[in-house]
Amino acid sequence: MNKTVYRILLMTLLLVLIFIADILLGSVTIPLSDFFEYLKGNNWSHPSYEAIIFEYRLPKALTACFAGSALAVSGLLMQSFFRNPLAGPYVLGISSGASLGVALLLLLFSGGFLLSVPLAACIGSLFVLIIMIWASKRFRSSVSLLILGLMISYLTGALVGVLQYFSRSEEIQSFVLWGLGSFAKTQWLDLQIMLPVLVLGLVFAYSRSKALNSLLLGESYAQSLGVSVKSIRRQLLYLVGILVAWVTAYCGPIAFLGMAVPHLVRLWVEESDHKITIPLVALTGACIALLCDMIAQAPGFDMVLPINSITSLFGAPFVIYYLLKKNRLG
Amino acid sequence: MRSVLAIILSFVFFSCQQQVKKGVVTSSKRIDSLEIHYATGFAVNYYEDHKELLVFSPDRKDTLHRYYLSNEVREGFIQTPVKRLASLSSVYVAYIEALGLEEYLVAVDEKDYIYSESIRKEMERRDMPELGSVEKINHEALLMAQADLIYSFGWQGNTTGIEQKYPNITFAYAYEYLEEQPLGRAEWIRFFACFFDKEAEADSIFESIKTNYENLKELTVDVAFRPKILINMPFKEQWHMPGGLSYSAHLIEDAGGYYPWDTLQKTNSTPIDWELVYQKAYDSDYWINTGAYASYAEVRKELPDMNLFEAFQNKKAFNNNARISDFGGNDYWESGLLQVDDLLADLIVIFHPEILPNSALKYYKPLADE
Repeated sequence: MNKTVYRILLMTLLLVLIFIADILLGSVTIPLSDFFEYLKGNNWSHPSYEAIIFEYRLPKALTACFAGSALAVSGLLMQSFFRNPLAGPYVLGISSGASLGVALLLLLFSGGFLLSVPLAACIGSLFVLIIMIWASKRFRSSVSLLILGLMISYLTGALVGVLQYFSRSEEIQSFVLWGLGSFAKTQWLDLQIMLPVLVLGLVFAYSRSKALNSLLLGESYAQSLGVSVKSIRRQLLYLVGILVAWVTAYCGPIAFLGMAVPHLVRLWVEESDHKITIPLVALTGACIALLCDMIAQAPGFDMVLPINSITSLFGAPFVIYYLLKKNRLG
Repeated sequence: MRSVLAIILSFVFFSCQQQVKKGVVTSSKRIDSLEIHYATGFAVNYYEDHKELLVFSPDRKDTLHRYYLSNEVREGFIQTPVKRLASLSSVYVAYIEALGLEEYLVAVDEKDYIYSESIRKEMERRDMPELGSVEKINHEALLMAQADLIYSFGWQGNTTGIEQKYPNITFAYAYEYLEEQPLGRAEWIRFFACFFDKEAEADSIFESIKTNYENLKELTVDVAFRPKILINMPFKEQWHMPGGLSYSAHLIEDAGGYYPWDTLQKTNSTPIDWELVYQKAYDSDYWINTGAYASYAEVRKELPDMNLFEAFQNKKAFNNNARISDFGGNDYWESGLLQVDDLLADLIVIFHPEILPNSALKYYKPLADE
């Protein structure tokens, strides 16, 4: 237990450091002395700096932090739920639902509709979530649910393809850009709605640790422990569905993080107790999302890179390396 | 193994051969060349019995396309005046209308994109077919249209292979969008006119636009204050800023504005991070070309960060969507590309209302208040 506390403290410290670095770095180089001057109550050396820090970088860093946590924890929950290491937050077809919602808005209605993009994404993903919950009552095995999620992805993919074919290039551009994901879309006002939901979701996930642990041992075993498999399945579906829908609504589909972070944590701590893994996965997810955001800003360059490419481009080789190293040791 | 190699090599050779442009050997003497004032992307040479049109690469070092035009039927020549014309982009509509070529038009890319009323009427009257864009062209509609000539935008020398498929159709590839000067873009009307032997008409149209433009530009040369102009809108965190040598930068400059990226020595756009744009242009006086957004409320909803720019706070945003057809065709991208004098007048009215006090806006309108 002591080791766990030490690890959580270590990750928290790391998170704070990365968070500060993320705010300090960007394509506009703000001198460090400016920060100290500001803390002393003096003005910034350029009038645009204040808005860049407080209106742009800070909300972005907070979004990255919580979106990373929520996606990573969702991935962990789904991997426990399906007892399948390939599962991730998107296996339920929720991101496909979101992209269908956004595609309908941007491509069919040319964006000139009453809804905003996050709302369309949210409605799309909740629509898929309702189908999944309906199906979960009928399907006995989790594998059928997994296949249903895949099928929904194919279906929505095909619909989105047809929509794209008949759309103008500008409309396709804005849709593709949405699909590349972004942490920078959120404002303080959005954060006021986004963060409480994500925090509640994460706390709720933590509170179900015991039931999740028993799920890992198999559904029949869980049942013999007195855990209602049916109700925990339902709860998990709702929880992951809402977490992922919420993140996707504000940031677009963020690839890779949700699937990979739980593996990273499992490679680091050989624990399957969710009481330990959930907080660690949440912290690691936040750290990695912030790191990716930092790389995406490409400090010193004039442009930014799409966050989705960064998460996969830098994340995948790292996980592969870690896997190889781990396997050699074991 | 060797035979496989032979087959591959012959394919390579064959496909290379396809790329070689058909040269036409004539013995006639060159008698004249078109004097071009602003455009740099094309040239016209007159020979005793034919004319030669050249289209240059973006760096103007290579000749990408050569067209030989003659009034008689000759092998390798395009017979002028052309009788059946198709247009693969709505940007050519203004040139077609100004030259009075409506009656020759047999197909367009997409009817909804077209603003021009005279062409819309003509399309309706003859139930003109739609071809779709170059990448997803409707081949059957193209065959049915029996066009002799197609105005299409050039792909910097890369072809989509489409002209090899239709050897009887001439694809007139235009690079007017690469012109640095607004007047250069307008001057392409003289290129389009050659296929219809309407050079004289084109010259007089261009001459009047040019005179107008130059006179307007003269008015802003000595303005005491050049307002700072922010242009376009961000795509996510990225802003695609036109280069300092671009069409847009020249228009802003000629209208007496200051374009903060005028030192970018290039024509095409550069992606620039939101932070850098904000740092440089937070205190912009005007924001123009606000994209798909029609009102301040819409921008605030979709791009809340815009609220941090002074031009937005002070409600000094103008969009180029004053003339839009019921189906979404925007005249800015049509006649606005030819009537650059009117476009310049619009920008002067916005930046320096005192210079043209009695002028109304044509292509631009203020972003709607709510």
